[in-house]
Amino acid sequence: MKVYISVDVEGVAGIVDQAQGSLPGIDYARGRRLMTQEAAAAVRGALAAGASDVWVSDSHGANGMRNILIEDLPEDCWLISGDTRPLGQVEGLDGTFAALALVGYHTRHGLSGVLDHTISGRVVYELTLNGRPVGEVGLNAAVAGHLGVPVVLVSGDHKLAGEVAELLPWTERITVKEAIGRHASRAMHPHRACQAIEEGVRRALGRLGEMRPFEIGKPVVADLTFKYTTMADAAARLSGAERVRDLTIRLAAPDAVALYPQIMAAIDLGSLSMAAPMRLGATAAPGA
Amino acid sequence: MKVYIATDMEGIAGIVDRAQISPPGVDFERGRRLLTEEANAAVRGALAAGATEVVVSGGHGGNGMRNIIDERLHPAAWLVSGDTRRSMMDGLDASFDAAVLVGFHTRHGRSGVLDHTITARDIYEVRVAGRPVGEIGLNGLAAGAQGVPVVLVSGDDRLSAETQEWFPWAVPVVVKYAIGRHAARCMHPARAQALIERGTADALQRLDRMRPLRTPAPVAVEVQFKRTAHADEAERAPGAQRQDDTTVRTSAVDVATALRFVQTCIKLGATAQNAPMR
Repeated sequence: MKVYISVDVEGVAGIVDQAQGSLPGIDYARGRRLMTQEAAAAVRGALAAGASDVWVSDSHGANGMRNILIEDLPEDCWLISGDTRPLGQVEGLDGTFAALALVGYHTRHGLSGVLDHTISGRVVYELTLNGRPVGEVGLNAAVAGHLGVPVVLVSGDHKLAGEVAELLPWTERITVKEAIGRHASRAMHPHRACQAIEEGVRRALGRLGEMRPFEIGKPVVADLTFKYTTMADAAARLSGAERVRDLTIRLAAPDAVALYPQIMAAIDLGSLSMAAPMRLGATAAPGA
Repeated sequence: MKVYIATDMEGIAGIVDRAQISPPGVDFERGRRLLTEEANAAVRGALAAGATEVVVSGGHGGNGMRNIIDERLHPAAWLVSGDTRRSMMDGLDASFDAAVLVGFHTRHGRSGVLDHTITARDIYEVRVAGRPVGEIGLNGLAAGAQGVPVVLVSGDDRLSAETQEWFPWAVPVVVKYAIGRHAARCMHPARAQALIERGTADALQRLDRMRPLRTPAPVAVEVQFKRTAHADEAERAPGAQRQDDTTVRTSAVDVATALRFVQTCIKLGATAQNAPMR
């Protein structure tokens, strides 16, 4: 049994702020250790459930997607690290995997929860797939679904659990903190969170029969709404993109796997428009 | 039996970015620890195969070729460290029985983790006898000139193809699968080290099958730069001719002279960057 574990940082127990999840944040070194420990817990759970091949993906964008401390993971896994990846948070996933687990994830942008955002807090206002608003959980689930792989577990805060319940009712939900605001939570102790994740992964893999690949339908149309018109201007230059509203571009592809790199490219282009100095008249980047 | 272990950093398990291999990179300390542990694995393998003298060379250019952590290195090994040297294999002579290349990377232009040839900033391609060559080839030629075979090369999966081209007899050890220049699926360091240790021991037990890499004299060498300004500076190297706008060439009497020409061209080419007001 092959298991893919994609790990983000915002939904890790103890994390409530960007200063814990990216450089030069004062608590980045602690944040990455907590993230590594939750990843390790998920690996142990998968191995306990009989997984023969476990891939961990470092899926947090900070520090070039090199956050997890490989030397602190269990020996029996592979780590996908670094940031030039066509399939981003699920790079390398294919139909040979029995399950996808999403550890340390967060709500989509606009849905109250710790550090809510969709791919880029600075750039993206909303992403819909075939009319359905999705965050990173939904997007990854759609990609995995096209490959026939079910999302078996999602861990994060209690708001994320709500998002998952709506989208993936069969998926095991692990709540490691209760969001109080975007930058505050009541968190479980990391040891207990790791225990819950380890047990959760094992339990989820034990009921694979109940899990279903998420289906978004084919073809897939993505509407990507930016925070600023300059971003939409820049992203609209992507070949195949259609400007459907002032802040929104539309992308289409036969399936979610083909669409994913287009969405990332559009966000990168939009993000670049912000790099131009003096454009927005702001001294600090808006958003998180 | 004397064994020379040349190390680089880009091909170590867990390494995918410059920030892990040069100061002030946030992960330089972790990177050099991983490097030192893979070097130690090769030392253990060499000792297990009966080596009586093991020399480790810290060949990575970051931090002045002082990347291996001396006090964490296997106590049986000697360490070649510091950067006013002619190559990544200083001190390798005909008394050695084998060369081991740990933590290496593909040549510039060939997809793999942190692909480059000596200096990523300046060099587009180096050719020896018309054949594009990266660092494993250059080190293999240096060892071959002394009659010493390369017996093992570790790095990513793309490097193992390059190893096959240059040293079909050598043991390739794959510690990661490249996804792009700055991304890979990495094996756990402990498992990578186990493979390197076992691979080194196995390779040294099959020395009869290993061959030194030889190139007949004279040796045609071309160094192609990324910018014409680099070639302008490198053209001053003794024996150099300007082959085209970005390339200098020479015909060297032997491999050692050819390799020295490459180093000279690269050092001179780099001065194009140092000139003030450019």
